[in-house]
Amino acid sequence: MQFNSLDFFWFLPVVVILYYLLPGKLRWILLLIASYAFYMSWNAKYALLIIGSTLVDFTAAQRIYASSEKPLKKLWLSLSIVVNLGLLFSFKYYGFFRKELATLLTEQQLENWLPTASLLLPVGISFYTFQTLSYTIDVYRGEQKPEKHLGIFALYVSFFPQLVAGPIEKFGHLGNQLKQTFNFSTQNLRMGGRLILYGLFIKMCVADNLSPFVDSTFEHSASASGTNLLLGAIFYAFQIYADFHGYSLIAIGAARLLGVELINNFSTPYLATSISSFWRRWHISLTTWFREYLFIPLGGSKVYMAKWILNVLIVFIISGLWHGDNWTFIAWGAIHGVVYLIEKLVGKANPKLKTQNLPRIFSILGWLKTFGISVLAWIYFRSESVDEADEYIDRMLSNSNWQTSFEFDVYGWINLALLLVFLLSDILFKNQRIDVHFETKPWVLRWAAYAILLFGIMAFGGVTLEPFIYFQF
Amino acid sequence: MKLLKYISTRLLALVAILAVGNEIYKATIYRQDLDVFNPTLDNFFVNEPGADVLYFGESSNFHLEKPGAKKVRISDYIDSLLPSLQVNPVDNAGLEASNYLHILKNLPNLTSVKAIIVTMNLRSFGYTWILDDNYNFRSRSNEFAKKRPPLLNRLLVSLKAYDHYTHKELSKATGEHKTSDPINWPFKLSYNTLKQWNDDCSQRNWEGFDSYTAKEARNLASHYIKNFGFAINAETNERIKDFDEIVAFAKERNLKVIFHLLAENMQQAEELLGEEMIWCLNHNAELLVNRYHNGNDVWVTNNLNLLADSAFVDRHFPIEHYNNAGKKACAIQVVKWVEEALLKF
Repeated sequence: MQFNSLDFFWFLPVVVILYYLLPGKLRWILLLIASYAFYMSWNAKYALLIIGSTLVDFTAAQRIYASSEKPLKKLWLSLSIVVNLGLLFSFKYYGFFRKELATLLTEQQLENWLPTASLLLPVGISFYTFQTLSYTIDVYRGEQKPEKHLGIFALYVSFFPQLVAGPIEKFGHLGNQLKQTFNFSTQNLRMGGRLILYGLFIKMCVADNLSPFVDSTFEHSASASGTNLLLGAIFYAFQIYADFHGYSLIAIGAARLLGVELINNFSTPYLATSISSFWRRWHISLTTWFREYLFIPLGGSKVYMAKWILNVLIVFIISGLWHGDNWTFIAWGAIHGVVYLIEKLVGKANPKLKTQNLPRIFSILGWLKTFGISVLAWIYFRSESVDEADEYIDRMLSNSNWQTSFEFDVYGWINLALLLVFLLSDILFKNQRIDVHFETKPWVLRWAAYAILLFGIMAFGGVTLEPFIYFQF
Repeated sequence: MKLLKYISTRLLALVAILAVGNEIYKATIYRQDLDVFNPTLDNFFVNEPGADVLYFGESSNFHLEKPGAKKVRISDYIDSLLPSLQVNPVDNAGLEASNYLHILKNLPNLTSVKAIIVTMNLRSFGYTWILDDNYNFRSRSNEFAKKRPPLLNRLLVSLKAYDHYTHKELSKATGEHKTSDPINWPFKLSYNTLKQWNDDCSQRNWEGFDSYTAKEARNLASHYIKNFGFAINAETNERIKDFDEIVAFAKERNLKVIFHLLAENMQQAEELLGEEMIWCLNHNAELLVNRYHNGNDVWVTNNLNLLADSAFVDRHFPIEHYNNAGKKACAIQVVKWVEEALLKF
């Protein structure tokens, strides 16, 4: 059940109405049933994985907390990590691992040791395994008390608005809210509604309308003109942003209708003037996870420079790999990691560059560099292989054919106008979400904006119905 | 009470936005969208006003005799043979009864249309057609043609709120029909399903044809089997349901219906596949005639055996594309029933 489907348009209001009709103590049951129904609409069998992950982490956290001896705590934590990452590896990386080993082993050895397994990737597995891992690690660190109520914990793992593509939440934030009883409030309805409306707009009107051109450009990159390739790469940067940001806003809005506040996942990333700033604005919940549960445990920045460089590269490469079992994702992470390091090293060597009093031209150049690097990295992210991405870039930079297959017909202009509306609104809302931004605006302006968004969704929504890109991760 | 007021005022505002939005949509982008999602409906909106008879057809109605030739429609011949009636076409390539039905439902309450002619294409009853790769496209066209506010239809199209399947799912379902739907021959044969028949054909010796090489003959025979090698099960066939609904709708709106059962190249079919293929084609045609023709408000013009091999334009695929003489011959037959339906008294 996609957020941009008729099923969800029925599902969400029904859940919200029942939620407020039920007494507070019973609401978790409704949400748990709804969450599992939501997840099982993709593939019922994979609910077993969430149940397994829930039971293991629930038990592990209890045992970690109850154990007085550190080795025992470590043992239970290891169990949680092995089970969660084991599931992730089996479903997501086994094929990749096997394929890479094929270069070292004979086919017979490979078949004997690592038999072929064609497992369908359960939707959202990377998200909920990271979310539950954060819980057991927090309990291990003593930052979080274990939840005693299995139902509440199960709901934390499977909460339907953010189950399949985040934002990845810590138990301390989401779990505690799920235990509270929220009264119906018009403010939640208003804020949640706005987020869902805007999220749908940027997903359906921007991302889905850019998708056909992007798909066709990447599919025929070997014969596309330089202009097409450049446009395809830039449009993909906007497509993936509109797609994932749109999803996140719908998730946050849906949770808000239930009184639950989820963390922000984006903050105008394409306005960043450095890669480090980009990562404070892009997929914030994942960046936070990697910082707290990987970078800092590796020693963070408080280590020798060589170790710090290694730590940074490890984090970026693993964050790339988190997206999928392909060298393209590793390349994407590595590009960001290397540029991040260069920026930091240059910054250290030239402390003046850090001051805020630099001429504005530096900001513009910084923005151009950051946007250019991110577009370049997205080419790897979108391509089927590193070779294909290399060729794409090579052709894009060397082919001076100015012709483009982008059609400047009515639809072409509408799509460009929709993209422009999105980009301008993103600049306008800078550091604020639409729900907050609109709160202070006069009602005429608010309702005019609602009307435009609603009309846009209904009249100009993309017709290919692309699933949310991040659902595949 | 306060909450009720809060919600109801917003709901009212929402309804107002949607109503105004629908009008804006109709006045601006709707016609362009029709070109993309259902050009035949656009064709219907243009050709329905003033028509006495609407001719619903697919490419058999307009396919060119030869490249560059003047486009002459079967419906044009019918129109010229019935000077007292205005016969207008509603056609497009690859259409079937479900598409005609959804378009037809847009017939305004005040209309001059008294009768409809609807092509009955035998291949469209087979699962090779029903579940082909155009399934999603046809399904989307139907969703867009539903008689609802156009803006709502546009939204439902972008939400893919219509039956749609992946290529893999469609292939699998077609394969199941091919392997399990019995033909139930009246004569003894070692094969009784489309798949078995096709497999048997692939083993045959295809040498010795004057007009085709062995490979061409085998391919053409295989196309015939895939497109016509089935016996309609009237209880389950989806196309039958569409034609039933067309009849029911016409009855409700007091329209006369003439089904035009399209001519097939029986000569070629017999030459390649003998009496088995002829039996399939005739058996299905008879079933349709018996089911629908009542001589009262529904007539079936059975043109299946009407045309000689020379009237068929395409030589390497069994399809209802006729030369102009063939089109005219079909039209003459159809006109007989139109006259009976509308001009008899």
